[in-house]
Amino acid sequence: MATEAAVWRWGAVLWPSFFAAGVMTAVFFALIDPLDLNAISALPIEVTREQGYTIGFFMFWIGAASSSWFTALLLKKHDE
Amino acid sequence: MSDDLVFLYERAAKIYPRAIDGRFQKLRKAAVFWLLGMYYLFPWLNWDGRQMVLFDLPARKFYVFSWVVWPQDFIFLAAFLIACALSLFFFTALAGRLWCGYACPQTVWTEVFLWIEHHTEGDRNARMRLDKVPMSLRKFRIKASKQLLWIGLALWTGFTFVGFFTPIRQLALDFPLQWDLTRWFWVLFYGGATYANAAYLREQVCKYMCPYARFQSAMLDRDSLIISYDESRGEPRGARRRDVPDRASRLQEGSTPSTAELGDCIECKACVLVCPTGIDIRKGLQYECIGCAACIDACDEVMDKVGYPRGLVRYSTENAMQGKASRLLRPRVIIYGMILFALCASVLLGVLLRKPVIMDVIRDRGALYRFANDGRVENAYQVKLIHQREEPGVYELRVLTPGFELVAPARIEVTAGQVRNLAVTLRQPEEAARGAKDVVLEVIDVADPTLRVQERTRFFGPG
Ligand code: SF4
Ligand code: SF4
Repeated sequence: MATEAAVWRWGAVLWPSFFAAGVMTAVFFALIDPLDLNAISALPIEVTREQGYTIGFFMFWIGAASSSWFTALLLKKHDE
Repeated sequence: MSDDLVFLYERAAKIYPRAIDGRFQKLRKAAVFWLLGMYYLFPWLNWDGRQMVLFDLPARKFYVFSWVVWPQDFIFLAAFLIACALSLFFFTALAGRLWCGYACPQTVWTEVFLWIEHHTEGDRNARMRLDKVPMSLRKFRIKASKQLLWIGLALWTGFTFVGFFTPIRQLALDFPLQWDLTRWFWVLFYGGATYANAAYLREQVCKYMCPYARFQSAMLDRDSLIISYDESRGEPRGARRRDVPDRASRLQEGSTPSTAELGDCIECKACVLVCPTGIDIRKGLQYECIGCAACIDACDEVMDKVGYPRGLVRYSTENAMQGKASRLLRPRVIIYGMILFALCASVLLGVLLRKPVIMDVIRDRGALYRFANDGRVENAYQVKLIHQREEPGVYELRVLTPGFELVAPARIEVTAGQVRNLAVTLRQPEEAARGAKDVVLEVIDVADPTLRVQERTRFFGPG
């Protein structure tokens, strides 16, 4: 079924990277306070800690997911 | 229809697992109640006037029962993550996908969503019939109440999730006007993910999305307990008259040729119908199998009905199934177990022995030593005090090594959870200050002098 293949492709990209992002967020922000990061960043915005964690989590997720997605693309080429 | 056709059909179509009761399903239900009970209840319980379990991200400290975890306790977080990974190895080597069958949030929430479906739409046959009939008032009412319950539960789950990170009572009081974007986002995100995963994706998460399913084979071996179908006892499978006894008794009594070749599987397909991932366990271990043991309970029920011994499908090892010697306690299990135990023991010890103050002494960069106005030799240091208590405190700093004078504030006052950096100096008369020496500094809690922490550093003099 087409939808099942789609679930497989999207799921295989999104879910493991979600998990990796969760672990990385926990480890990273245990060591570094988002407010400190904000203070030394070049961005002219102020964020709260919660927003910092949220942004951090999604940055990690996007990073991990893009990598997974490229890998999925490369493997697909190989299969077909 | 051949077996393969049935299989393909079952795979592609929406799976309607039949509800089943039995020993293992009772165990699973208990696990669901226990785990979700903790999840939904814990944020509401208080301890010492604060939330019992609260990962207070805005304040950067975690409360777990009586314990407050600070960012400096990072090592415990690392140890905890390693312990989680190790227990996954340990339990997989021991008994396959125990995690998936009994504890994985995916399975646990899917189970609850299935109960809701079961209570609103009815059993397997009723659900299949309902999906086939065209939309009517009755169908709409049933579907709508199911969705209402599903969505309500999903939102409550998202709310509870956020309640682990910001005080949940306050969160409830602030609803909805004083919720900022971050709160709304996480409640809807977590709730939405729960809904999608437990209501629709279900077994597809395990089959296509979860990496664990794929690398479990690396952790399993021929002595791991897995859910298996006893082929030698069950095959050849087939329907039979009601009064045919099981094969073992038939063989004992001297069999009649017509039924002698029949194994104990009566080909009722009960094990297939209950399977949430829609596979047939009689084909052997498949990576789709999440180890939920529903097929064991289903088959046991059938065996009871026809008067055959239970256990045609059961927890067993590959070696045992092939009649070879099999032992659960093998080197791999023992080694995983020992590392896991050592890790947990040291974390526990670390937590118990943990002192509520940490001192770090760093020599000032720059000059090795300098001369004070009165001609004595001076070394400068940065002292970092981490006060890990919920109340303010007062400390005193002193030098234990004789012959040194310490220049530091007499009373060091700290607020709850404060990290303080102090610039201090050690002095020694010039004739005594020769070469490098070890010096010990000590910090004492003024209110509780039994609490003292020492730290060694170096003192440099001329020559
Ligand atoms: S084969 Fe049995 S244990 Fe595996 S998922 Fe299906 S019902 Fe559960
Ligand atoms: S439930 Fe037991 S008897 Fe029925 S088909 Fe499955 S293995 Fe055979």
